[in-house]
Amino acid sequence: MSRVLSRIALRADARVFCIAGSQSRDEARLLRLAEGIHLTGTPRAANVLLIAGELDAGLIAPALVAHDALSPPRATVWWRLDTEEALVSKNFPNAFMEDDLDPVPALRRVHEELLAGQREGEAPLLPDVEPAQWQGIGPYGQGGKGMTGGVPYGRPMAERADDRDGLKLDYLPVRIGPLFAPLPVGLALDVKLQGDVIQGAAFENLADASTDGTSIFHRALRVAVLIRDLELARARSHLEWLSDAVAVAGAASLSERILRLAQQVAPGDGDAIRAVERTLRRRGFFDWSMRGVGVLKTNALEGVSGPVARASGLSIDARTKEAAYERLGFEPLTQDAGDAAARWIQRVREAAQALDLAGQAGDERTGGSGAIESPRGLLTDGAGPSTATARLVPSLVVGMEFGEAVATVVSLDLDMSEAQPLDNHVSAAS
Amino acid sequence: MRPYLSPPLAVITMIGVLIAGSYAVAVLEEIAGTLVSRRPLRLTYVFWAPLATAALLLTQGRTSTERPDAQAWALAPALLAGLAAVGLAVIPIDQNTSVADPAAGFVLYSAAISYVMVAVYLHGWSANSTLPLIGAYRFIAQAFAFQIPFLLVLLAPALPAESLAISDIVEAQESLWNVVRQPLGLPIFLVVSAAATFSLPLDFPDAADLAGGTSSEVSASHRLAWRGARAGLLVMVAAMGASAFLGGWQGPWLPGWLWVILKTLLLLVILIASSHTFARLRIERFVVLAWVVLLPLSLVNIFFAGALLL
Amino acid sequence: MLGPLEAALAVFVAAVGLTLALRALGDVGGATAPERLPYAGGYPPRVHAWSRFHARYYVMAFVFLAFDMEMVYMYPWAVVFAREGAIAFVEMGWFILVLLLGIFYTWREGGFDWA
Repeated sequence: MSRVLSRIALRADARVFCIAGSQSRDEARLLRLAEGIHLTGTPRAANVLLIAGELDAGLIAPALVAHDALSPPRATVWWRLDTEEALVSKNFPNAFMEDDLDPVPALRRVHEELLAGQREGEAPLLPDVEPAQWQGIGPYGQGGKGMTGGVPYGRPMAERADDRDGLKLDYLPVRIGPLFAPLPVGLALDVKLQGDVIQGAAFENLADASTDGTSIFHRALRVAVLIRDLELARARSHLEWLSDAVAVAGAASLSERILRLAQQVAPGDGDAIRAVERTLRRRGFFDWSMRGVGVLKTNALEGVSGPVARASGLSIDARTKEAAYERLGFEPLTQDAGDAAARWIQRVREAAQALDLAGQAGDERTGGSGAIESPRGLLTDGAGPSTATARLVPSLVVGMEFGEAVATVVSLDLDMSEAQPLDNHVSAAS
Repeated sequence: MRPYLSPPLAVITMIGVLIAGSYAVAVLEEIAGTLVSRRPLRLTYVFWAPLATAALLLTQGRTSTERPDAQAWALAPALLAGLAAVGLAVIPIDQNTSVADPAAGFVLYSAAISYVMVAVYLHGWSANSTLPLIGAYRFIAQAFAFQIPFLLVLLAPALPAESLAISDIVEAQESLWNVVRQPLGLPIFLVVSAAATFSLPLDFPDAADLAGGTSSEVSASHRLAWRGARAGLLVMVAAMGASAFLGGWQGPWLPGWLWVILKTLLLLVILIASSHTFARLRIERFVVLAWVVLLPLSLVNIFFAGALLL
Repeated sequence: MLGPLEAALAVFVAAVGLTLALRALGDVGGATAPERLPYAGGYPPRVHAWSRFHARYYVMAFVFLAFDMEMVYMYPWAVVFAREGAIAFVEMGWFILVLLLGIFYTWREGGFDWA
């Protein structure tokens, strides 16, 4: 019976939970288009763990937890992506190493070997130690009197705190992330939940600070690059973000289509992006889903640049100071609303504008001045725009329903490797 | 006495219908996803994928969490499947053929829909984990909002039929289907159906922003049971829509049972296609929409249906 | 004895039983402590998730209760409607109108607001 099931299961997509190092997000995202594997949103649904690139030091411990949460028999594939360091191989000794550009054959192979019984499922990597010693009285070890006394199973129950409705109610202190699929990698959001509403928030950045970005925007800090290439990269970055955001909004198939478009666009394809904007509007992403969510007023935007600032009406853009862009007739776009819908629309329109600019740019060049407008905002030597944007998160999400908070954080397009490391920001409800 | 099958035969028929229905839902999901994402459509893959995925889930080990409410956790998908089965059982398969067609079939059906709230809540609550818990409480709000319009809009077809038996409701559509007689009915029904089956764009308890919500902690055979039960629920709702609004077994040329299947498939296609089309609403907005727009509209619908009979 | 309900009951019991069996078919794996950690992104939880959950939509529960009772009246009403005619229409119309006013009042007072 189980032999027959295993034979049939060979035809199934491998269920892959993917953990990407903060430098390998783009490569990992492309796996959504791959055939023969299916990326899952939770490790419980997966049988293969994929680690893409080198993991940031702060992500190793959470990655071990994710590994053990996979349903057995499980296996790990490490897609090396030219990394030299060995944090992953030290911590995941049984990982199948893959140096190829395309990890799908390796994932399929591991998946099939697991099913055929040719590969032993990996044992849990963390020690089998109960979180706290069972020391209770009674069948559930609650250790106290009455229903809520004591510490059942060695873990305390929720404590009570004042609620703003004047009640005293339980709150759950929960750390969401850093490997929570809807949020950017490396962002560990510490929230105090009362019901499904966030009463207090703080975050920790667990991504390693990247010292030398390899993107064209980092290169443009030092040398002049073709505007054509730069704007194409900007449009791609916006579309890749859009693909992520649409997936969190539930539309996995549309997300895939947008990601495919991001791979195919060429200079001058602005109309293709405007068609995407119409599609999103018709399907209600702006009006039903994102309108009024996470409103940012201009006075809260200290130090914030890029599409987030422009979606709130601040017309700041480093490109306006460049002669080459002036020759192309560049004018920054802005929105007034400052909500998540405005940020979505802003990025889609900027992507269209970038492709238009790329189409007109010819051999115009820009850059080398030590400051450049990257897709997320003003990039200078040693400082990225996400530092300031990430600081908005705690005060912004307080008072929000959980899903609204996730949608808000997603709409900020954070790259935690660009934000300052181990920066702990706290905000509590008044 | 209304027609009904002997219990053993009823069980065999219903299990067959549920398995075939869940498979059809999985295939339709796969096709819709492929078309919307503009992947090339590989038909062998589309027809194999649901079976292969089911087999894979059955070969995996089922994980647990710390101190879950194990009995309730096991019961949740089973209860959901049971409700789907009992809801399907009251819907006639053909003229004079039903698994069970009690005189108050509609009451039994609405009881089944009401208990969906219990099944989903149990599923989220019993894992003792934060994300499923949030999903569970989300569905309570969702159920408060969709249940009244759902039942009202399905009650309107009972007015011309003067009966709560589903076969009478189908019979009463001989001259004119309810989709024409009560033009508001089917559109409202489709919206609340998405809520009742918690499928996109109203999949709040199992949403992607909760990494799967009530099902974010489940694996292997439990995952398969939950997905199967959800698909069964979708079939149950679509089959009811086909009988209440599209005239059930009635239709020219083809045999009645085939009409029932075709009409159910049509509603499934509409529901699944819209789940791949529309953006997820915010839940706060959905509850207001349900109370302030859908509920008054379904009341207008039922009184309009009544006025036609005066 | 129970007529059609017998078949319905049998179907319910069978579907519940078979789904329980299907769930039990899969091996139980993952019984060690780290495998049982609830997953929310890679950190163990600090407290149990079970808690006195603040359902902020509680006002909706009261409105729901009112309408759920109303549904009980509507089932028999729907059956006899065609026989009773205008009087049924007017009587239920009044009843519903009062409830509907309640809905709009609740809405105006922000009773459906979430947070």
